[in-house]
Amino acid sequence: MKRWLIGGGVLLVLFAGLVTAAALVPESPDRVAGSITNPRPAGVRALGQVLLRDGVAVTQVTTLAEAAAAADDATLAVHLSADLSEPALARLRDVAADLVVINAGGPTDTSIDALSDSRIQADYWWSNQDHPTASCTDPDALAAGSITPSSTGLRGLVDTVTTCFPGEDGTALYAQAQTDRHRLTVIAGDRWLRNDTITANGNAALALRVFGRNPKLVWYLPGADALPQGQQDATGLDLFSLLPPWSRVVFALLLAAGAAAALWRGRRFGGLVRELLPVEVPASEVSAGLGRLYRQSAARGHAAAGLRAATVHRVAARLGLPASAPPGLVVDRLARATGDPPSAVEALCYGPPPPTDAALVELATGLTDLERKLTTRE
Amino acid sequence: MAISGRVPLLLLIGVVAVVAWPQPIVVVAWVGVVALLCCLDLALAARPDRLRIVRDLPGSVRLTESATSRLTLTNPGTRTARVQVRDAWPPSASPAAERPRLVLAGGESLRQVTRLTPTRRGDLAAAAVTVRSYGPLGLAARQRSLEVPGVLRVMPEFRSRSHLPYRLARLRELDGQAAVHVRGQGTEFDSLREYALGDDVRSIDWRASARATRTMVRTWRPERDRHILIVLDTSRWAAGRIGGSGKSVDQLRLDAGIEACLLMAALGAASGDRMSLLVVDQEVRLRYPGGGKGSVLAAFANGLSLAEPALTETDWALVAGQVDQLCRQRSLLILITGLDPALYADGLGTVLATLAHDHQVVIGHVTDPSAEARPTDLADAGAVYDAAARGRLWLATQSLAARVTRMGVEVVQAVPDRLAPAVCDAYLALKAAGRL
Repeated sequence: MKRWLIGGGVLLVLFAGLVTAAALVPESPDRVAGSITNPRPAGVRALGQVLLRDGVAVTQVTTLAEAAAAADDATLAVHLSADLSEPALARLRDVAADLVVINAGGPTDTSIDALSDSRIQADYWWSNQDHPTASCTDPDALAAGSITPSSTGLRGLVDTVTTCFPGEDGTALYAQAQTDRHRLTVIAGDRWLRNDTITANGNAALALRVFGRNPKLVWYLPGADALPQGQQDATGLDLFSLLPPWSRVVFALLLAAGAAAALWRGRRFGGLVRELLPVEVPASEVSAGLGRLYRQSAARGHAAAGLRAATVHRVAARLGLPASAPPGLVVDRLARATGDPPSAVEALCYGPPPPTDAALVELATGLTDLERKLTTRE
Repeated sequence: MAISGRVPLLLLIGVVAVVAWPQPIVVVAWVGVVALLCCLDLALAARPDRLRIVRDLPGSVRLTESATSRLTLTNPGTRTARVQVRDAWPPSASPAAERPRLVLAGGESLRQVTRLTPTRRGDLAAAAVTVRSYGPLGLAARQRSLEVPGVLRVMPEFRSRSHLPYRLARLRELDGQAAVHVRGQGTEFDSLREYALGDDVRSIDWRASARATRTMVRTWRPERDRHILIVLDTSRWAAGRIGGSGKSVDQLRLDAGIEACLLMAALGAASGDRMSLLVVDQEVRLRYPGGGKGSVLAAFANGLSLAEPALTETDWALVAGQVDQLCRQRSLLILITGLDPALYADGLGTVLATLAHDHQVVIGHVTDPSAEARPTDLADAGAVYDAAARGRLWLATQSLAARVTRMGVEVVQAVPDRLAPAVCDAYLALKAAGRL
């Protein structure tokens, strides 16, 4: 038994170590949503494979330096799921390659504004139609016909921006602009190019035309170096930055001391000792059960008869009468002993059964009073 | 293996070093040093199973009194042992937990005392003795549980012994009380003495007076050397717990029965009668034929300390058979059992007539004080129904008691605390009347 417990404990510790290691090791890009090497439904590997077969050199990068190095014969696709830092945006704005921004949701307003020099604004997109039509002159959009929409949308702020796939209130899914450095395409949502939806509507046509425009494609998944400082973790605030520099190590030492204290207090000084307990039942189990039965079946007559018989038995013994004394004699002697009228005593001791619970309670109170009167008189 | 509270303290001392050099490697190094010290300490600790442990325990103790369990530890090796010892007992023994660290140099021995105040009757078996042997630094210890057997018998409390002096005085009064006795069956001639004022004139022995020329009276003494058999019923009836109300304590019916047995044993032995005891339910739990050497009270207490109720019905045919074996002459049979109308016809009723014919039978019946108390708060219909049920059962018991009394059986009904003296009073009354 003990051996099994120890074995189980060791297995548990190993498992905990494995989980910790898995949590600490950085996530592989093959598992990130929007990665061009991710074969899962949320990945974009299908597009990457088709582009490769068409002769486009596809590479995926996660650092800002690699992304900014894209040459002018390449297309730089930026998969945006959060705002990037100011320096990162500035470097991307000056890149020589054509820029395609996939606005995959999240807080990306500032980034799109900065990348398009305030020409395009992120917005919500909403329409009654399931499949929005191109409704513009852009050849890529026209070739696609319709794409799968997401809830994010775009709005062109100047006339030189071409917007396609309009929604109800002037927002669009596709925006095309020419900056002084490169050609900029912004497409809202990532649902139109994911592995699970790329074959629907004209999604594939739009994706192949937009990303296959140039002989090279650099697929940029912004890594930690492109994100703003201080927002690298979910809380957005590092508590230890407010404390002295040694607080982190002291905390670790306190944890170790706490673990040692747990070991110290947790180890039992010998095993638990068994106690054999005798059986017990409540002494009043029979009378309690009988009382409950009376109550359940509302046996007022039976209960009243029991109360009366017990009282008469007791007072008869007190008055020196045998238990078998006739009712007339008992009533007569009781009336004389208590001073109550004989009719009242007879009604109390030998009357009809009470019709209601209230009458039964009244009867019981009367009998108790009678007995008490007899005991205090003597 | 176990660690002491010094380990976390030692780790905490490392805070000074860590504040001075706030590097993660310092934490790792400090924890490593402490772990190393623990391992070293563990390696230097004496082996606990090398210790020789002897237990010194009294054989028995009365309930509510205290006993001490002494452990003598001897270190036969040469290495000094620093040990902490736990003498484990069941919770009802309420062992006083004081476990100092003992330092045992090689060849020395020390004694550790555990005070036990049992709260439950019966045999208490000592559990294992656990030894923690610390190293010289007192950081880590080897722990081992060793079997050092020992059994402490907890005797019944015998709370009713306070009633004994008065009953013994009554017994002495019976001695020589010729006046209350009629000559005949059951009383024995003791001696002749001179007439004193107040003696019954009927006891004057005229023949002796004529010879002595003084008025002589015969004195009598109560019967001696009668056989008394107490039958204690440990069936489901005995398992009933009667809640304490007011002065009476919370106890099982069995406890009240045991008190009655013990008080009768003390009284019967003092009056020179032979006492036997039979504890029985579905089978015979204890059979003490009496007549042996030694104190009857001690033998009864010793045997009754192990009596436990069982959730079965009593096998009265078995009881009748045992009574036949134990009583060769007409005896006083004291049955401590319940007069339950529902069980009487198929149980006690089948054998009581025969028993009452062959012997003088006294039935001791424990009543529930809460059932006897008059219902005071009858505002609730549920309470009235309960009171009615209690009244009906009480009536049935009374009529059964009346029936049994007509067979010549004495019925003693008393609340738990009063049962023992009431049974003894019935015995004294029978003795005074010469009906044994």
